[in-house]
Amino acid sequence: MRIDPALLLVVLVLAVPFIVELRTVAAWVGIDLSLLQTVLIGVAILGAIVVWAVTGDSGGNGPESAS
Amino acid sequence: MTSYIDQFPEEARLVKAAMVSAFLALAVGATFGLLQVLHRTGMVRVLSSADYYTALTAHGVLLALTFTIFFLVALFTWGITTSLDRNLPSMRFAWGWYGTMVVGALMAVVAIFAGFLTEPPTLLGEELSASVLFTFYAPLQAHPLFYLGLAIFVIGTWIAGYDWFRTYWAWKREHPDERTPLPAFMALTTMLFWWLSSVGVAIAIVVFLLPWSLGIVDSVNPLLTRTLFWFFGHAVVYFWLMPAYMLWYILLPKLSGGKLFSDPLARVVFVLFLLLSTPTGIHHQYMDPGIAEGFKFIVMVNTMFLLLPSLLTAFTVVASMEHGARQRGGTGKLRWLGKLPWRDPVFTGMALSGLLFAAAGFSGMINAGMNINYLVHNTFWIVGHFHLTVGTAVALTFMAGSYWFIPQVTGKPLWNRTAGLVQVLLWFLGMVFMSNAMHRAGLLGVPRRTAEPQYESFAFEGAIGSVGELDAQVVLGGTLLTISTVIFLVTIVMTMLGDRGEVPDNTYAGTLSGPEHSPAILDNLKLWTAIAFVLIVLAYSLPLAAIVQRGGLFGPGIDGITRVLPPIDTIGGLVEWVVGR
Repeated sequence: MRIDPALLLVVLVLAVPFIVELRTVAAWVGIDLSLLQTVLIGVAILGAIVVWAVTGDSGGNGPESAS
Repeated sequence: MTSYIDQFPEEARLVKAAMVSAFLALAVGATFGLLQVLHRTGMVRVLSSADYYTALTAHGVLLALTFTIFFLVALFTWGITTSLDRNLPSMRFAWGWYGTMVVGALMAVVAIFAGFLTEPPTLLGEELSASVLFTFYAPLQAHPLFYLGLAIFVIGTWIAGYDWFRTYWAWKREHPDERTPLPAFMALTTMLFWWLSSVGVAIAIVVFLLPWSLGIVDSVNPLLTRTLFWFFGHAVVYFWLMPAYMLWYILLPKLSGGKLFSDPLARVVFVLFLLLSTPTGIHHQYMDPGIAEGFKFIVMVNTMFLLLPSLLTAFTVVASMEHGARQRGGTGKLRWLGKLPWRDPVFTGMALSGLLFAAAGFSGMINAGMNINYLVHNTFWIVGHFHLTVGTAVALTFMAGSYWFIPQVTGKPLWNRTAGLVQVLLWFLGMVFMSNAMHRAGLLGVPRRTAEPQYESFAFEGAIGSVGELDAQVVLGGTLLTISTVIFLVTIVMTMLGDRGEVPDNTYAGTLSGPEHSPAILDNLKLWTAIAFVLIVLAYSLPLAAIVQRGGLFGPGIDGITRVLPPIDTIGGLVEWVVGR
């Protein structure tokens, strides 16, 4: 696992503000997203983070190598 | 292994009692928060709209004053005794100030809750009620019991401060050449500006509002009492926030596995708050007529200076966390973040609260700017802002800190660390949803402090999404926050009901750069207090004089003391007669 499961939870939670404001940012560039579309994109982003986290290794920065 | 209860068993009982008082206030106050969210959005209406102000008063007083201040007196008692390695001089005296605070809080709460009754009981010839919010602006009038309760509560905190100072003076006599330990320095500087600023609210209550509610004076000058409230009202924000800062400075680096980056910078930050907390209050009154724009501009400049200590804090705390992570073997520009103890709810809760405080700082800058403030002042934006400051930076830090302190004062290990972690994450998530929607609704002009934010024949229109979607987001956030509060309370109760076991040592972070690297003048509390006093006089003397000159002490054209003069005349006549003989 690339990151500690607790850190994965934190990263998922930290992604939420960005997803919430996604519609605003998209509107700036002329893309109007509905609530449903925003939710679906949000779920896709969170899913991608989970996939990224569970594949690969920590590169020495995971908690298992903590001194 | 030595926990706080092993070192200071008597003080641990007091700290535990104060924390439990805080948690009781949190439980009741948070319940009203959910009711308000559901009511305003029209999802579920348990209360009548006529009772909304009463609920809002209970929510504000219980959370913004009672929860926060009970927790911080517990924290400062811990900080003073632990860092000076010294008992309080008298536990009977200490229980005395705690009892004073409890009595004051109960008096205010009883007055508020009586407002929910269809036929409130009568006391002192008046119906018991206090639906005046935690700002208690005149001409809204509460029952005298409410004002008296608040005054007694504040006096309890003053006596607590005196208790900490005399503990410090006793320590100083024995250690004349030593620098004040950082936690004690933080508690004492915070207490100094609390004393300076709460004089304003004490005068507002004792001289004006209480006599007015008792019928001794006929009227008050609302602008004067509002200004006296905000004399204290912005400093109280820092009275809540400084304990959170204290935990970020002395616990976060330790939990990260390292040391505080700079003790001198931390001292500078607390001195700056002592200097600038009070002469900034008028920035809450940009929309008030009767205060000249020039005074408001000066206060705006003072307020912008307050960004400096917060930015210094952000730098110092993050640098300390990075140091800790690198001590644990973290590498890279950002990959060291993976080495931080994210499984620990104490660390994660405090780190996330600091992050949301950064967002609160940005919205705070908008509030502090005179011209932009006009756009958002009476809107839901402000509610979103202070739910990020006191509702997250302070409340989440206190909750996360409780997972460290309750084991310290009970000797019992934390019941369930995973539950604690889920709780702090849910709080962050709930607050992101709720405060984001509040800020955005405020930009549309949706008002605050009302049960009925929609008007007839008028609809707020969102540039992106609808008001209904924002309402749903507020309800989602409020619900998550309520679930988080329940998990927190269950975790605390289960911990307190558990068996004694192994708990962390009662220690705080060491420093990379200690007090020996800072000039001794930083510890000269008399000097900084004198400068703070001068700044307050400069910021407030002219505005207060102008307010009194224009509107009088008790309102335009009202001498306000018609009921006071006859007895004074009688006493005066008696004195003349005695002296004449």
